[in-house]
Amino acid sequence: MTSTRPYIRSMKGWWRRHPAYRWYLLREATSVVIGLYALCLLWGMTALLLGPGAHDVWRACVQSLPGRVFQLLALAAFAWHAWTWLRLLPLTLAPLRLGRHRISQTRVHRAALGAWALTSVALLVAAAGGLR
Amino acid sequence: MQTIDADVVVIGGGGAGLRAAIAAAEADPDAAVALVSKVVPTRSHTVAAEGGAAGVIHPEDHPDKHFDDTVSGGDWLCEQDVVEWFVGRCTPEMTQMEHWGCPWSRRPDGEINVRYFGGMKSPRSWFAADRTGFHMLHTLFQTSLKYPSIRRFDECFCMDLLVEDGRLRGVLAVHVPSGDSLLLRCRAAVLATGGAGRVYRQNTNAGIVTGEGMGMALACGTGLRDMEFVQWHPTTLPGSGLLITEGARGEGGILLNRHGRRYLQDHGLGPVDPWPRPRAMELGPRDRVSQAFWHEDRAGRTVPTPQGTAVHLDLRHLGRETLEERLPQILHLARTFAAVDPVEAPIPVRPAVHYTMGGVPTDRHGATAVEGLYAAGECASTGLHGANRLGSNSLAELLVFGRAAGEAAVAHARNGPAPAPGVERQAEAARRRWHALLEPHHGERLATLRDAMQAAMEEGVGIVREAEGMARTCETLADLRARYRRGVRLDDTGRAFNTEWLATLELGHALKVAQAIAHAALARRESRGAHLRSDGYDRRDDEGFLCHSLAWDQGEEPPRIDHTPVTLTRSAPGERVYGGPA
Amino acid sequence: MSDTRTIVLECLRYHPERDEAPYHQRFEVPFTPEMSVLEGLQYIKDHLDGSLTFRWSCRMAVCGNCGCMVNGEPVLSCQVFLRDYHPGCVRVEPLDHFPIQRDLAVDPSDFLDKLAQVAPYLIPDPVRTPEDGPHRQTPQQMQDYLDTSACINCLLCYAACPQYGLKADFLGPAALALAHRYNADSRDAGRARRMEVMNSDAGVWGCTLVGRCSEVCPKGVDPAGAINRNKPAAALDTLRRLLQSGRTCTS
Repeated sequence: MTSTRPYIRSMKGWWRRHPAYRWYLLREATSVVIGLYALCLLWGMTALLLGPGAHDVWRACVQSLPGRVFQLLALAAFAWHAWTWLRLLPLTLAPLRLGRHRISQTRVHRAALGAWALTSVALLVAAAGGLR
Repeated sequence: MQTIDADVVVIGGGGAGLRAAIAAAEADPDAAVALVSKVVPTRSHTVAAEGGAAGVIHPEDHPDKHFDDTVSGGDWLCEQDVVEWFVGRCTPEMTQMEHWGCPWSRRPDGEINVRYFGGMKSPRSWFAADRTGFHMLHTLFQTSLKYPSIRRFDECFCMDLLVEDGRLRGVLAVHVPSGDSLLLRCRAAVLATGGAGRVYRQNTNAGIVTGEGMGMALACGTGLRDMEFVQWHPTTLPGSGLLITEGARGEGGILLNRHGRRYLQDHGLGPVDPWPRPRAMELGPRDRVSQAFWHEDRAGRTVPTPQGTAVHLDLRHLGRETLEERLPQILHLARTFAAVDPVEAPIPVRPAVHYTMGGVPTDRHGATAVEGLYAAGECASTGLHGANRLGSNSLAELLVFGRAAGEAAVAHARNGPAPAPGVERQAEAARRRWHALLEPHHGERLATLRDAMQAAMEEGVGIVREAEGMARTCETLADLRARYRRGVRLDDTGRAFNTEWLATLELGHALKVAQAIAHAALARRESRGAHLRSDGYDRRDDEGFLCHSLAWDQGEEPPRIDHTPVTLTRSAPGERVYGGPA
Repeated sequence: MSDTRTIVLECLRYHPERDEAPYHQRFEVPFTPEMSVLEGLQYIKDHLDGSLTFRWSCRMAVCGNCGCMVNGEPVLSCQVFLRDYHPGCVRVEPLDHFPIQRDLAVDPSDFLDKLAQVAPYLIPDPVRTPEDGPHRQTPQQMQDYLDTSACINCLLCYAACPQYGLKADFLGPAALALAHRYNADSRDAGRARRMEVMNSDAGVWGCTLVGRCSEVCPKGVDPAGAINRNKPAAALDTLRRLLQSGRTCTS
């Protein structure tokens, strides 16, 4: 049973085949931006250690126009990543039950989103308090 | 041609074939078991069984009741010694399936739940929601992966049984994707190729249920028994014939005609109340319920639909929650294929061909008249079903007799005589014969012949039959065989994955099986079980016809029909009483 | 009949004995509202070109044999309907990511081999015999595995999973979902045996949670969920083995 000659298709340009693949790649790509933002924060903390001069340079950079654009981009990336991550959260949990009935994935997603929003607001409030 | 040696070749990867292969592997782990299937085993038609599998476990049930239900359901044409043997083995087999992981539906306390099916005195159908066959098939397939001695030959189409001097010597197959021939030399084979419902147009069967296993066995001298008994399932979707399980009625579904009347009360299955009660109304046996439809249709009390007349199967009173838990697949089928939501509206249904009660005659170990050839499942006629099969007995049958055949085959392979030389020559001759079908560039299209066969069968050998119609069908079939011999023109003459060629091979066998059905029906001048005549033979005639029919291959001529006695042990033929007061 | 219309089916063709590469062929098919894409293909085979090759069997979405790509989506061709594509054309192609054997038929053997690797059967402890009777299992315990046990092996999830296409040894959605099906069964004691296969690059870690498998599954199996629910256990297993090997080294 050797005389078959199957045709094997290439995976070249696979992400073009379906929008879902492009959304998936976008989700993964947000990690790069998030990683860069983490580096930026690390730079800021190192600058704090090095002294006021270094810290001023860092502040000037983040307050510059490119710096602000980068931060907006990072915010968008964070928001999108959080949204998708929370959407996938139910897939990583054992099914949750309420009595006999299973809680739907949509509900888990919504609850997680609610918790995320609350935490974010709480953090903002706390941060604003700290600044004052 | 590649040659492979095996101890046992199992032909067919459905429920019976897988059970046989596992039984052979367990009985003798050193035996080489080849599982040859024309599709990947999980595509086999067992997958489509919905409602349940019979096994006595309910406290009010008893094997004697299972025996009585089966024998009276079969209109006393059952081999009673076989039925006795069978009813004692169902429950251990169901339990074995449970141990292999089959997700049988449970009661709240975690014990096995059972439901009523038609013709049962007590609830006896083990079920896995309404996907019983699906779960059984996948459990068996996945379990079969445990046994290293089972070697699978998926998508290998069995072309011929190689028999000489009444003894099986091997199996000739073709590997479908490549078109390469394959000779399996063996001492024993189990035929588990399923039924032949596709000889009819409106049927519940998968496209693969074409009867070539029966045809091959017939050609090598086993005969075919009781072929006139073809089961119409009463509730299928008009047009497509997709199955709406009897379990739907087991759960409490009711059948209504166009006036909203539960018409079964007018056909010897009433009175209506108290409802539900066993063996009455919608829980009558399949032959009676399908025949009742025919009468309603004749009287103009059915509902017209674009795909033909129908009656209504009403499940609305069961409520969404029960339907979703017990009949999820029915919900899906009705919504997808009939655009009806059973929660909101009744499902239009009508009978369609579902099952061939007859098949290759075997004893209870599956042994056929050919030494070394065994048969199990729908292709076999163990004598279990008689003239009408009870719902749930076929899934139980494929376990009980699949196992028996597998064990008997491996024992035969171990103790039987050494394989005779020279089978290669026989295989080569057979290969040439079947490859010759690829050659004609003239003749008719395959679909023309197939459609004509199906139309003739619907026309002359339907739910209700009369001599003239049957004779006409016999003539048409003889004519179709002659046209088939003159040539089927194939568009496809390649070797690799040539499904047109394989379908032509199937059709050749199907025509012979169809002839066996029509001629056996014509020869049975009485009405019994699923064989109902309207031409003066509308009663059962135990004097003349308490006997099996046997169709014998006559080469190019139509089959010869004989009759042989039925084994009765403890149940004398009586009246089949359904309905009546509770 | 008055409600018969015509639609174009554009099928991918490839004959291993003749063609170097696949190509598309157009067929005009008359159809009625209840006709599925599968019935369209059957019409072609019966009346227009008997050499068109495709798999099918049950016609009721349970045998899993008729999966193919229709306009780029992996579907069971028996349960998508021509009326829903009209007046556009229907492009029918073999399932993505599998070798094409001929026309619309792909080679499923890679999946079948992988399924066998995950020990997809009950491994009980202790072993019972039929005389012991059935296990007790409550409907609630059944809920833990019933969804994944509904897999019909139709391979749509593999055609939807780019990871499977990119990484040949990835066990893939259905095989891993079926491993989970037995892991989650209260009657099973084989989790440890399946762990080695699952806790590997080819196992659960091959999944990057694209999530399309669960979207295209015609039976609601949610393979993405089944796979990812096993990642914490797999991670713990790695940790446990690290600790154990550490202990063996120091002792």
